Amino acid sequence: MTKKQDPATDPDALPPEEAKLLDDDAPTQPSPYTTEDES
Amino acid sequence: MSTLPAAPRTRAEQFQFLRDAHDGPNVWHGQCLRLTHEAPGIPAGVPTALAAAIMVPQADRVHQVHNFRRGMSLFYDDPADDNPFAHVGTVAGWFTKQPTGNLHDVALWSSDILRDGGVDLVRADLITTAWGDPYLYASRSLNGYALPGYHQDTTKPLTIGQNLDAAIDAVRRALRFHRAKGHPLRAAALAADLAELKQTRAKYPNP
Repeated sequence: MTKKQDPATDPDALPPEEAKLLDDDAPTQPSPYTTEDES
Repeated sequence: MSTLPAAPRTRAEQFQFLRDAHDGPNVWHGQCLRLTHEAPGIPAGVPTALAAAIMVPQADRVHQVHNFRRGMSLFYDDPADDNPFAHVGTVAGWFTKQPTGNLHDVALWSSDILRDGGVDLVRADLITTAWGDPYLYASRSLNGYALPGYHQDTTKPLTIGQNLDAAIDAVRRALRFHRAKGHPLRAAALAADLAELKQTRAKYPNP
């Protein structure tokens, strides 16, 4: 019989206060980490 | 676990920093590496996320998505493009109850992806779909420090013999380096140190 993991103490679990921040529909920004040829 | 020194902050402090950055002003434009190393209190080390990725020891690299864990750094780069910077964010955990092996289910704190200069929590595959950069690997360390929760305690005191052996090994490697580089003064000084260390070591029985 395996011990049930308490979600509150699972080190990999996403805390509720962070999970609610996810917004799949938000528009993305152009990457500032790419070089752009403006010529 | 990483054998590197521990990051100054705890994992709780690391993520509080990221949540505060999310609620704060949009000042992180082009600062993905700075955000990622400042959250756990790790000093600056290298100028770009790509350099930070390269210097991660092989033992601290995590290649399989199902092994990604909260607190790790996650690097992205497309080696085929001309982007010299790469990108890095912080793994927040899983949106699913168990790791799935799907990057879409990994939560990532990232700068710039939703708001220019802002910090947001997104699905980790958004970096790839929006910017075209696949992930390289996650890591348990950054800039030469173990990330919070990934420090392996290696502070077990060494014996005198073990300490001397380690010193001899380091001096021997440095001596080879300076001989190869043509630095006669340094090589002579190191050779003297090495001889002295060997004499001292001979006085102690193993280990």
